[in-house]
Amino acid sequence: MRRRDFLKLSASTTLALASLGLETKEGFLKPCSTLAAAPKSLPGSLGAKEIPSVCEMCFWRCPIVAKIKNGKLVKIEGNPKSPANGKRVCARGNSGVQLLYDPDRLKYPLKRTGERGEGKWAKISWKEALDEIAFNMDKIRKKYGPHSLAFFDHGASAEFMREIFQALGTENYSSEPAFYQCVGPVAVAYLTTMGYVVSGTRQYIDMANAKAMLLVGTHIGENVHVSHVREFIQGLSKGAKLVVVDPRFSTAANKADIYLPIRPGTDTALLLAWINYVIENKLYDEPFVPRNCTGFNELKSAVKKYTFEWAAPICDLKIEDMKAAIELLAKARPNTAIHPGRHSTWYGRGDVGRHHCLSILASLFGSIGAPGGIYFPTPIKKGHAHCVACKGENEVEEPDVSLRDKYPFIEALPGTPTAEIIKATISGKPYPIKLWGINGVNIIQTIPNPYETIKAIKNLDFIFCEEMMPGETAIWSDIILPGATYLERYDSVYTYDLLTPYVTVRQPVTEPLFEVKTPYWIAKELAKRLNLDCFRCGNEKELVEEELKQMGLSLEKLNAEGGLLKFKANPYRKPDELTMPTDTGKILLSVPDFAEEDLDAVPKFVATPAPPKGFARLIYGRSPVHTFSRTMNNLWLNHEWPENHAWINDEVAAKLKIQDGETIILENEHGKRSNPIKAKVTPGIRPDCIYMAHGFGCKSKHLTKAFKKGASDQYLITTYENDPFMGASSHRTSFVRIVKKDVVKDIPDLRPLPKELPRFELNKA
Amino acid sequence: MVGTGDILKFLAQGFFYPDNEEFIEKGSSALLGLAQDLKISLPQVDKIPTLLEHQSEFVRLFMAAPGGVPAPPYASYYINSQKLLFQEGLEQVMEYYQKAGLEPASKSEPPDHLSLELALASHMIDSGHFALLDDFLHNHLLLWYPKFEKKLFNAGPSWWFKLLGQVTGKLLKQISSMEGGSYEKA
Repeated sequence: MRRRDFLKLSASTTLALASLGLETKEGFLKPCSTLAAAPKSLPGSLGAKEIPSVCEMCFWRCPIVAKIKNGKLVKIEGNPKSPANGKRVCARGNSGVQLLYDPDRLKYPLKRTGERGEGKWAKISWKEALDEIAFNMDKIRKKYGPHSLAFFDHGASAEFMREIFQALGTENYSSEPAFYQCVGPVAVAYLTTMGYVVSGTRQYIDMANAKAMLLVGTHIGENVHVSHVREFIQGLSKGAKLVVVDPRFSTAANKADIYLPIRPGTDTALLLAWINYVIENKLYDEPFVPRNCTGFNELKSAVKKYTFEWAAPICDLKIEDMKAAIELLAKARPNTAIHPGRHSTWYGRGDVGRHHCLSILASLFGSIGAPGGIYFPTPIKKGHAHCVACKGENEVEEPDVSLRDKYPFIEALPGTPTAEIIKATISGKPYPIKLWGINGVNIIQTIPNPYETIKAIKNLDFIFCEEMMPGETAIWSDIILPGATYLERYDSVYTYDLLTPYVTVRQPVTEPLFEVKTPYWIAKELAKRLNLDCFRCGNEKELVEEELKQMGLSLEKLNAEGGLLKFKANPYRKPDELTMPTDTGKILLSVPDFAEEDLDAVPKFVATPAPPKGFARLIYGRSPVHTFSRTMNNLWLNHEWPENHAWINDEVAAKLKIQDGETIILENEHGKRSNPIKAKVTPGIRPDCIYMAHGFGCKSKHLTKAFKKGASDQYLITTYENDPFMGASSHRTSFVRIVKKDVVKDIPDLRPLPKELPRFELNKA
Repeated sequence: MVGTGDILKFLAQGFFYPDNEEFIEKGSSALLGLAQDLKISLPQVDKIPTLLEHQSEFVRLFMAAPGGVPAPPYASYYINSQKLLFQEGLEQVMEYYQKAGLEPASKSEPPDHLSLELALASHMIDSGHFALLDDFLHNHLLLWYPKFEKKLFNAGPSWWFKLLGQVTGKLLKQISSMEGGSYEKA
């Protein structure tokens, strides 16, 4: 018997096979030119080739070294040259290996074949995918006007596509949840009062050299940004005192000298009372304030009414604790780190005011430009690649009624509030929005009220996304473009302007796998189809070289230095040499521009509605091993932290007969229910709130490891209001009660509620 | 004359993303004929799938589906304890590519994709590398194909893909069960 033809085929089978013309078909294989078999080598990452790059498992972008063996990424470590993180990476940084080789990742362009959101697809070619997107962009733009296109973006992968939307003339060329669901209010507060964004992607706060620190709702150690956490720990290890204000006994609270378990929604009351106390008791820096600040007298008279006696019942704190905390912070001035906070979209109206208060407090302590206080970035002049911008690109012509109109302090910022795009997409007013592009952000697990977001998506003529994983947003798309991960591409030159400045570059550690393409290639090909003259560099490597050239560098030179060059920092200023980057050169304690727009020149306490009877406020935070919803399917991280827990006060739990570890469901003020979630019964949370880590409760069945693990906070946040300064959406304005075995259990009132705090009205929900 | 190598080429094509209607039509007859010749019980064939139906089913089974990809067609997924891609399974098969002096013609799939491995087996037969084929089947392809086939069946595939999986499984088993060298005695 011969193996070549051992199977006795029937005549009909032979005929059918012969008719396929297999022998003439282009083969799957070709003579070997490059493939090398894996040599037997040292175990693990020993002997691996090292490629310096930049992490993007979160937005902090730590310098890394990728270890490659036989073309395969085997390990990721911190770049030892990096003064920020050194050899360290966090759990997520380490787990990039799992992102790259995740069997669930998106590998090919896909086109929807079933109903929108059903998750039925056909694989299509890149040509077909890009042709179809270009056709729809062009058709919709011509039919409804340029503003009918909207782009939701995040991170380095979205930069090029954003250029396309801008070149097509839509005012909605950027709508970053990273801004409108996170740093918007704090950025506006500091940009207005100090002239620069003290807290945006980065926080310029010198915790390593502080003698005292204040954290208001900031969960360092749970939100892990390696260099930031290191500085926090350095400060503590050198003896810095720590005050933590938080309704929950967080990881940071565990390190605190004074922990203030404040009633959620009342932080501004505490801060105003502290400011008043500092002024009344002359605890402020007397030479610094008159020299470097404006508006002191307005501030002084505006805060006079905010006494500890007034604040104590509102904040549900003891006067002696509030007093001890502020005196501890004042004693350390000017080396007091009043952390500006980061995620600031809490309550809507009061958010900018709360961060304005923190800015005032830091200024009163004279800690601006002082070691241990707020410092100044050290800008590294980065080269500009002329080949990126679109030729002939004009200013975006605003529509008659803009989605930005309502927000007077949005002007300095690009793009449109996410909530406004969603509302306009649903209502068609003030103009129709018919096409969404999405890149690098899972909007359904990020923007409050995902039910509304899905309703808007159903109203669209076309929606496409560029993604790496098939998360909730991807499955609602008509076309999915599989984007290269940060390990498969170059990105623009990266400069770090904090206390240890450096320049580095993200570079690929492997060729893009499967049929994925880099964001630059995708944008370049799409631009061509739209007749836009953009992206004239042949590829992203040329772009990076052009940027580096203007810095007197090249990839070769940079890599010879270990992929990173350090610069000398210039973070501090002497008080008598301090010039702020504001119009007056001074810090604005009172902001006249706010008053001109009928907003508060000096922050006021405006009560955010307290929980309705039977409900607790829903609060949330971060898991240290996850970056929102985007790492939930990562095997190693999923093993570390597969699901979140609902933190419930132990007294509340005892009254409701809920045991630690018991599975419950949360129901919000609109009757929306969560996935089942385990209760964490603890005295480490106030009785009037329930906490859960954000990003869990995956609803995408395509993510095998993350699906249905834990509960999603986002799906419970259905009440929100928009910040009146720049349109950010609030996240701590929803309430929950507990459902156990189908029985709804009201949260008992265990803390007295003062008259200043009206309850949320359920009949308005 | 249609030989075993040609059958494997056909099966390799069957596990590759479908891009023309003709292959599905003619391939259906070939598949049904092979099943009959291999004594596999024939399924109830209501209709030949259209290209779009076939593509959607392919994506559901092998690329992206609610509940995760039911049957990832990559050796690494089955050979690696963490079910990662581009791992030991790929390293194993690369040794065979090197010995056969071949490499995949396109980079759109990793070298341990089922189609490419079947194409490699086909080449080994056509070029008479039987000892290498034995080694390849016993020490690589058949270590993972049965697990893949099981996953494929569990996903409730269309008759086309179910039969493709069965024919491939039975054929590979038959080739591998032939004693080394016996094939040259004919």
